[in-house]
Amino acid sequence: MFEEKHLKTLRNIKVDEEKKQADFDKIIKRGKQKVVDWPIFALIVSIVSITLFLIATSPLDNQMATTTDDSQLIAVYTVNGNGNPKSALQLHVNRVTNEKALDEIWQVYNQLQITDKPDATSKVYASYRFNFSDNTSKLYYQYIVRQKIYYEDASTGQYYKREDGSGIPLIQYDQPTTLHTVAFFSLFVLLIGSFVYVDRQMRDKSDPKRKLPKHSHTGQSVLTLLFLLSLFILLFSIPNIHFMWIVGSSLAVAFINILIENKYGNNNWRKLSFLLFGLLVPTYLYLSFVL
Amino acid sequence: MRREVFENNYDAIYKYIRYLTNDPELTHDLLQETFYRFYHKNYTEHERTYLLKIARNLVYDHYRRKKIVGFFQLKSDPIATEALPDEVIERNAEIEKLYCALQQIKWSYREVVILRYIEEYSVKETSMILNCSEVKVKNNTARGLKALRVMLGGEKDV
Repeated sequence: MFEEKHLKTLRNIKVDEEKKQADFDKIIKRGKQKVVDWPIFALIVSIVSITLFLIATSPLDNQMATTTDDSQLIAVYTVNGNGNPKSALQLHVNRVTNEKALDEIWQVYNQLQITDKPDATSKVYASYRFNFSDNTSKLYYQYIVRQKIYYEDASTGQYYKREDGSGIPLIQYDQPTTLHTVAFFSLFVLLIGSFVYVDRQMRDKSDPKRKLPKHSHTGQSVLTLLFLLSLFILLFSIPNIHFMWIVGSSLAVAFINILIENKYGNNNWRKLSFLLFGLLVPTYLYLSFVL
Repeated sequence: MRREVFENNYDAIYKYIRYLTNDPELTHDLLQETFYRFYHKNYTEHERTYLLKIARNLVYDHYRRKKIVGFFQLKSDPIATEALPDEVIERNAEIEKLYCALQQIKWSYREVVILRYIEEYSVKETSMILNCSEVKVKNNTARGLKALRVMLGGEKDV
């Protein structure tokens, strides 16, 4: 055959002996280089991060209002636009528990006077929930009408405003503490590091330097893509979604992926990578929207 | 020992990577990586088969990284950009045309043709290197030769 005959001529090649020697030297040189021991490095990073996390999450003094009066303001939750802020774990919700800030808000709160419903209608600018020490809470909607700020009591529909038309000071960023932030950023870095490490461990047994695919079954790819897509839609459609829903769904997806992996691939590193991904997504969202 | 393995297999591995990638610089890089990984693993038998397997995986990984491959498999093949390698001893217009055609056929056909006709492996050995069935090797060989024939204008039939 014509092709086969000519293909045989491609068998005979004359390699450059200098380059051949250079190749061999480089291989030997590389073989002598010390390989970084990733497990020890990862262990050190883990211990440091966990220590930081424990320090950061230990209770801190003087963070809560300490007055013993009944109906004392103990926390204020705020969110932009129309919403029902109940917990600091809702995305975009800001919580104020700092004593000094609460005193300032309390003073303004006490200056609110009953007023008529403003003529012009406008959309809700912000929502406030005031939590009191007797376990009661009040939700107010804030409106801005002709440069004056009005508050509507969500339960009674009664409108309030200050005499000069100013509003409750938006005291943000008094929380979290720096340590809290550092702890979560460390956790995030640790998760990223672990994820990369696990990714590198997923190797072909016959060729340890060759990476295996991230998923062993199409179902895992489809599930992960659907989860990310639905999460993206949820973040837009329910802006104040509770963070635990995200954690729960993320871990549920990880769990299902691990079950699929058990059945089809049964690679322990891949299982760990699903778990890490399940933790990484909520951690990233926590850092982006809650912290 | 290392030198012996290197000397015995250098030409074969070089040819294989060179004809697959059509890039002399890349060939040396991947060749070094192939032997480096081989030495790390301390294989004692089927040296050539393992070396070719590692080389193939490296070539795949390289193009996967370069986004030439799709999600799980090659979507588009590396395009022939260079003429017949300088290392080929026998040179004429027909061989150059054949080499050019070899670079343009489908990736899965090309690697089978290289292994079967240039590296002189049997169907069984080729299936071991490519990690696929012998039937697939036979099919791809026949299709590869047919594709080459079409590329060459079909003027020289079997």
